[in-house]
Amino acid sequence: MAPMTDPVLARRGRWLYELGRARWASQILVLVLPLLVVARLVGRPGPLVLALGGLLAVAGFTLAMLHDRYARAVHIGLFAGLPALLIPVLIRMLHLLPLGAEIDPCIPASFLSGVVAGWVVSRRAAEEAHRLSFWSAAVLVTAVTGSLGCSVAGGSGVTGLLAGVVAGSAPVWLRAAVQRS
Amino acid sequence: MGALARGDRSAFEPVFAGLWPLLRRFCQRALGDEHLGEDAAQGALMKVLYRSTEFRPDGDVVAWALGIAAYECRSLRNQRLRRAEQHANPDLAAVGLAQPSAEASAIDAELAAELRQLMLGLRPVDRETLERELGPAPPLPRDPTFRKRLQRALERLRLAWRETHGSDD
Repeated sequence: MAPMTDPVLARRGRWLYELGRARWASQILVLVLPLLVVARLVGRPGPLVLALGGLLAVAGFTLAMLHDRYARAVHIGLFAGLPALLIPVLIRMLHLLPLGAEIDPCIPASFLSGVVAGWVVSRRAAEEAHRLSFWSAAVLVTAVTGSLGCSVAGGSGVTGLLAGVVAGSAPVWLRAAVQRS
Repeated sequence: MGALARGDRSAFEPVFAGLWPLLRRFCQRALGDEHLGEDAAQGALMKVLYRSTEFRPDGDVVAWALGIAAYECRSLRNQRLRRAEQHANPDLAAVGLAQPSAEASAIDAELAAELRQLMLGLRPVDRETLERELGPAPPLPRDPTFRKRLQRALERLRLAWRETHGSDD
């Protein structure tokens, strides 16, 4: 190795540090890729899985590379988004449509999955030092994961999911705000 | 280092400023050569930074970094030694590691002669079994009877060796 001046060495070291973090962050793909396979197996359309899956993979990798707390947020976001991914699709696949129902049952299912996801993510975020950034990262991952399934009911399903996340998070945030004041 | 391992980039400068002089001093002292030590320290620092995500927050950063530096020094020293040996005696470097040395070949030949001598003293059936097993022809499939016979022949050969030479070695 040729001798280097300190600034050159620091630059090279910084580059290798980022490379090491990228190697570590790529482990998140081990979780994301099977989820996409599951989404495809339950019959979600290929272009949708490709688009949302690509977004999920890029977002997950980038967040995990940024900081460990975001890597934790990605993990919890993926976990919290699972019900929203699976429940609406299963309702549609198993034809669990109540007779005479005026509303697609996948929409309330998406909303309820969102409530659960919002509650889980917010509870976990309350334990972190940087709550808001953790919550935002986890909700982003939850929203993309859940949209893979909730989109079975179209835009209304995705809106229901997001409304549910807000509804599920609100009590935890309110409680935290009351405790702080 | 713990902060850097978690992804806190603002910790890079202090970690670099703290580790670089320490690693340089350690490697130069370990190798006894300023330039070689600097090379080793650079390699060690790059490895420390590349593997920073593996650092445990409850670990001792100095011990961890010096462990990597010690390994780097050892690798560099071995590399230099190998290169020096090759330059000093290219004929010796050309000898393949898989090839036995002249001394080892002589010992093997001597042992083989002794074994052949001992086999002459065994019963014909034992001798035949051992020749079939050790002979240059590809070994025949071993049936249970042959395996048993071979085991007995080897035991008798071992006994004969012990009587002649005193031990199995």
